[in-house]
Amino acid sequence: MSKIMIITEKPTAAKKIAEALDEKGSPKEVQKRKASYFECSRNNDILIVVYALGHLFELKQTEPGWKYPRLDTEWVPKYEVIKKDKSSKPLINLMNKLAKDIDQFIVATDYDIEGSLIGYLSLVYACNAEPNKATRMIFSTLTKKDIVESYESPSSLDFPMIDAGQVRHEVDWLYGINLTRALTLSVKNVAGWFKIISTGRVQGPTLSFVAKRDYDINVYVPTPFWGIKIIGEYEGTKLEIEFEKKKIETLLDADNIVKDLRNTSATIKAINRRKRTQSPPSPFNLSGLQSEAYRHFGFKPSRTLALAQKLYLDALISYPRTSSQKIPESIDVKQILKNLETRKKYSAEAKQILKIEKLIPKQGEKTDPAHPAIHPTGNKPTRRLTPSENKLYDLIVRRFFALFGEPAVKESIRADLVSGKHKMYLRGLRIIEYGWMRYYKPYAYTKEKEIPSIIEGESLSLTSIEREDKFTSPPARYNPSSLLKVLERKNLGTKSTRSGIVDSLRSRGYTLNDTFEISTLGYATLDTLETYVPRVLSIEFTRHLEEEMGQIQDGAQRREEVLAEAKRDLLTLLKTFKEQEKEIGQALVAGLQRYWKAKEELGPCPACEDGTLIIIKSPKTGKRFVGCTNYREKKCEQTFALPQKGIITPLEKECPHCGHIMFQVRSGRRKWETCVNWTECPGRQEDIQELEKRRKQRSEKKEDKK
Amino acid sequence: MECIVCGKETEEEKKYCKYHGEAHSKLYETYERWREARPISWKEYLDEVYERDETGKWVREIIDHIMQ
Ligand SMILES: [Zn+2]
Repeated sequence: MSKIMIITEKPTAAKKIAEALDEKGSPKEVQKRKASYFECSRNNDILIVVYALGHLFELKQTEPGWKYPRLDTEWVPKYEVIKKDKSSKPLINLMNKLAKDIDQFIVATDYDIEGSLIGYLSLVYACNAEPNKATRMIFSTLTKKDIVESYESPSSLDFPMIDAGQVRHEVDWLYGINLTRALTLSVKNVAGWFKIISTGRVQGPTLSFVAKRDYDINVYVPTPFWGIKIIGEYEGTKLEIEFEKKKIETLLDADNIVKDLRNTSATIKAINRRKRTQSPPSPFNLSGLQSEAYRHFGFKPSRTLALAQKLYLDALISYPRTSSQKIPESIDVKQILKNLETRKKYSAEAKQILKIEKLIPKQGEKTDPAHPAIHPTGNKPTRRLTPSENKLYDLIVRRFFALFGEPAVKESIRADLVSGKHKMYLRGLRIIEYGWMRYYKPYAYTKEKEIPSIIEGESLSLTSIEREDKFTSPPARYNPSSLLKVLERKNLGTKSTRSGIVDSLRSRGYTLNDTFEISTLGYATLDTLETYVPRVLSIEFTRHLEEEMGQIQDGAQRREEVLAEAKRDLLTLLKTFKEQEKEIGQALVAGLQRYWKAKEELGPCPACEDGTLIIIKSPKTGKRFVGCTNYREKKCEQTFALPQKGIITPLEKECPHCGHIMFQVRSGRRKWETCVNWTECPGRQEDIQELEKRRKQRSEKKEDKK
Repeated sequence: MECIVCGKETEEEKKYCKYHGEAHSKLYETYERWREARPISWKEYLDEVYERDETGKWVREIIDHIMQ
């Protein structure tokens, strides 16, 4: 009889593993102060299943002082670094105590860089165990079958993966801590203020290219162009016809085309039919799932990851932090489909797929050495899923179904029409074979467009010809999902760190909202770094490090060497910084002063005691309004409407009619004063009428031009 | 020198910071394109660009400044 300790990553995972391994399926949960563990028995052995809560250990500088450079670090319990942390101490103490009479240690954390590092640090620093003697359970789902199999045939610890994880933490600590201190202290030494100005290894480059897009939008001037809207008629059916040119550069040309085509008919010169087959989509990896969940449900990538994590811990889906788009043969897809067949919601589709003789799922290009693509396990939920979890689960199940579908076949038809010297097109689209789209409903749909059966030589009368006035548009703003894709394409960060980086731009005050509009602070920081230490923003620099970390994982590089190189580079960087500290500090102080001014505070909130009224731009509609600073903490819901155009400057006076604070609006050549309560204020009804009048004039002016 | 729109430090003797400077030259360059597309006076051009949603915020700030 031996005593075996299994180290897991989270309480829910610990429970699932203990339940799967206990011979009776009912492990004992032992409560010890503020921590607990599970005890079970198997093959005459006693199994102690303990859990971490993410990382229990953090890096700390060995030399004291809030200064830079600080290059040497050690791993210490989390509570020593993060004073607020209450949960790591009891867990570390418990592991330490239990470890004393253990014969064999098994690491069963998530099989990826972070998970392997969490397991290793717990093993070495909490259990004082010898890592070379410990073993590793590797699994991609928390189903009983996978857990038991991985327990029965464990491997040794994956040291390259652990090294890669360790060096990532070390390098990110070095750059984040030292550069943030350098920036913050430069401000403190110039102005005496203490305001944290943060940057980091990946955050700097990310901010830099997000700002490039914001810049292009902010300097954008639209130009006019014209289109031609044509409606034709064939045997009583009205048809939308496309003019050959989508973009007509001058008004004169557009008017001439309209004149040419009015009251004419068009002859069908040719009809082209093209069949196109569309293969099923690839299996989901994390970024594929994140972008599809954003497209259909509007979930932010970080939210999708959190939801998927929950589904994984419930053993409903496989491990979500994967880059793989492959379903290897080792996965029993038939059994999964059979399990899904027992669920009313999925039974029809599963039944149909199970009729296929050879079940071969579609495979994608991308691979991951540690895990397969995200797929359902087929297990039934043992609790009621939240609506959001349900949505994500349904998407994963239906994508899995789609992998077994036939290709979809679509036919597109284009009739080429001619009237005088002008060409135009009539287009149609129909689906001949739905194939995989049947299984992926409602997430796959194509708008079909019927056109009547016409033949060459026939003609259509053009019943309506209209000129369309259009304008060019700026590039689209990023959203959390598109930004994540760009990070992936540029090979910045990893699948587990990217969504955090995207969120950090906002929480650091560098961006204003989910459309990644850069704040004054963002520009000030960026300008300063660009002028004095551009390397901090360089994508090449951080990508080089990223590649080296990948090589550690593949066993082609040594951790010590990569770390030494990163330190050398950082020291050079910090030296350059120090030499220009005063200039950098002055530039940042000027930027901060503008940032505080630009926050557009209007004055105290009339509804609550300590709030301030500020101008907020709605992330949904892009419209601006006045809100209270206590809104975020859900303490105050006071809002006021604002005119959407013009520059607003607070006035330090109160409205003589209603007592609310006043501001000035300057729009074009017009300038007027009003109060925040203007829509309700008894003295300001003429303001509203005036705005209404101007709006009308504007739209009439537009009408006239047509 | 300070940018006459936002007060940010400018390079040498320039009137605008690099952001408003770029918005300013874009505004002037694009006027040529509008004139090629259809007859329009400078004043009308500024009015129309100002009202369009596609117009960048720094461009709008430049127009505010010109119109003052
Ligand atoms: Zn400026």
